[in-house]
Amino acid sequence: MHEQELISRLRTGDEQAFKYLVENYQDRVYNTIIGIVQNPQDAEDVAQEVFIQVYRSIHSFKGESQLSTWIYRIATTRSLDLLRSRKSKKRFAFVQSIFGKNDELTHDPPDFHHPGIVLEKKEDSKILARAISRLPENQRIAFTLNKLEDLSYQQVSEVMKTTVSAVESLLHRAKQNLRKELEKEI
Amino acid sequence: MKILFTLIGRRFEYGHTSKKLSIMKQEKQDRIEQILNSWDGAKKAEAPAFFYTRLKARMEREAGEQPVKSWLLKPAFVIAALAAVIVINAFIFFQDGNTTITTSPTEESMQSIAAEYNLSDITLEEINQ
Repeated sequence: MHEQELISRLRTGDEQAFKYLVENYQDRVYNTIIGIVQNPQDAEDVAQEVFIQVYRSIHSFKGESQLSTWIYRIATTRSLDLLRSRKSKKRFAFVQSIFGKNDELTHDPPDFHHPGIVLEKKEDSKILARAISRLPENQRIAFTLNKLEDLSYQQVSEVMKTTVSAVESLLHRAKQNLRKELEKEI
Repeated sequence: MKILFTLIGRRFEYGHTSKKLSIMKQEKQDRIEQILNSWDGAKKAEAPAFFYTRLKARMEREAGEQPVKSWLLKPAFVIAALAAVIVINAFIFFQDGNTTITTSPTEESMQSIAAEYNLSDITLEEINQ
């Protein structure tokens, strides 16, 4: 199905078109999100939210970028929302624990192993995931889109609404920060 | 002569140690690069089976639910509301406190107390004296 036709049919609320969209994009969306949120259950939840948002706001899609770029943008924004909500829940749990209302603090998710990485690299992948989780948001998004989704610098810049040189700089800084983090780890 | 040999020996030892250190440093750098590249060539993660079915079920469930004002339950809102209540309470408390401290018992209030307890004027004057 051609992208324009798909968008027009989605705007009319065509269920078959929506199913086609989900089946075509679900893996890309899930793969992006799991790299950022580093938890399979959360990744599925967020992926569902992404498609619900696409379904509800397809009327506001102006077609200035490709449909895939728009969907990647929603996926990264939603993933960051989840990370922020995790942080604020953790803070709230800490405040509650001070007042003795909540003995259990919200813990960090356990070590993440990306399902697409071969077994021999499993341990290294966990160490890398831990280091990535400490990166600033923008660097984390750029690194995940480039490394896991194989998006080019041009595509990453379109998703992040920035320039190619800014993406290059983000990735350079991300690698520098990761090297520093890894140096502490090993 | 002995000193010369010692110096040469130390120099040799220093050179050996620094070479060892640089090898260790290089090994560490290699290990970092190895970890950094561990996501290279990773297969893409696939969405769980029956993803669309679960998505449709969620959309139908959400369509049937009443829209909840979820922002009311957000920790930021709860904390802000709590802080506002505390500030208002503190403000009222200190306002009252100031009034009590600065105002001394006046004749008027004493008369009202006297009237309440049926005390005569003489008794009240006596109290004042």
